[in-house]
Amino acid sequence: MAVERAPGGTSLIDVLDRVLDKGIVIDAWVRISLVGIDLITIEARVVVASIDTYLKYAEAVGLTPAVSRPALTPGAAEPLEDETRRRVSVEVERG
Amino acid sequence: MIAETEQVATETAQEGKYVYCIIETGEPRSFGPMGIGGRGDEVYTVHHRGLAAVVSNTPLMVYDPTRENVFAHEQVNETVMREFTVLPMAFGALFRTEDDIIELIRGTYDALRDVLAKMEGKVEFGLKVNWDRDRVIAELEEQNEEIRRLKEQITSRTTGSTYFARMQLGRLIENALSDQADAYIRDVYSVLRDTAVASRANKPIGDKMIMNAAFLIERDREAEFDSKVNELAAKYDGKCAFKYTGPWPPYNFVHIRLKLERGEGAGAEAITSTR
Repeated sequence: MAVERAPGGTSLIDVLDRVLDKGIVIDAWVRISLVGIDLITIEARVVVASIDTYLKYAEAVGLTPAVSRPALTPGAAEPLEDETRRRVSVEVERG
Repeated sequence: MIAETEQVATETAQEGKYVYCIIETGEPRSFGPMGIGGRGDEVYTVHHRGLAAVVSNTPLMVYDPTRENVFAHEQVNETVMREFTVLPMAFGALFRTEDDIIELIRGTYDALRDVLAKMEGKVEFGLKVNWDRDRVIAELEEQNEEIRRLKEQITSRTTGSTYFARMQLGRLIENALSDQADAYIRDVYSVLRDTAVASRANKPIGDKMIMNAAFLIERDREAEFDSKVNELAAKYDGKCAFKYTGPWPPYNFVHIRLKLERGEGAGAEAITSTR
């Protein structure tokens, strides 16, 4: 099954999702500048972030935090770490 | 000389310039009578040292992000994008005069140059993935013995409360769904990552969407990216629907925030947003 690629400006939601607060954003207080403006506090950042952002994304999508998930997949590093941490904290409480 | 145009303009019929994007060119250009505001204003360029702002005349007013207005903004950018690498402006940037725009370019010149160089020859694509939750749950039930066992337990029980069993089942399914969404997302990224320069994850909208991402792609790898997306869509046919859009100006990969300050002698005429 082929997926159609829709040109950018066809869906209002997709356009709004981009044009309202992304790209070059001018501070909302002053929409219209005046001659003689003193430029400027500039904060430029190009997001050519690592593609690994998907890891964060996967977390954001999770319906429950990783800690409370049953460790159905043995061998996963994270649950083990949590176990250790939990154990440590228990000991501290006892002491 | 600078302030002259400003003084000429009257209270009632003040004209300004709407800015769509920044491009690199030393040659004056015209992109057609497609300016925002529905008056058929010509879209043209304002230059400073090899960079140019793409603008059109407009009455000085705060534009609401109506359907018509945002499409006008986007349409100009897409037109310009066919020939140039664009740094898109967010919606609604108005300046009083061309001199103000030149001042803007002058003040941010190095940053604009730098970002333009980084975006050279690249465009953005959007990819949203919606899944068919019920279908995925049905599939999970088939695969997951524990889910099946619990379900049987609940349906076969004729006396007593099934409250806890149902709770347990619900949690089990929720966790399985979350793991499944993660797995899908990882898979999608792993297929696309080698073809993309960068990616950005936005918040999914609604509960059917599991992924709402933007990818920055070299123009000459567009076809390759297309086929990868199609490959994925085929693989997940029936389970996930892919919504694939673009090419877009690189909105998701250009972050330039400008704070304008009033210079000396500036009046109180700046129109401020009411939102």
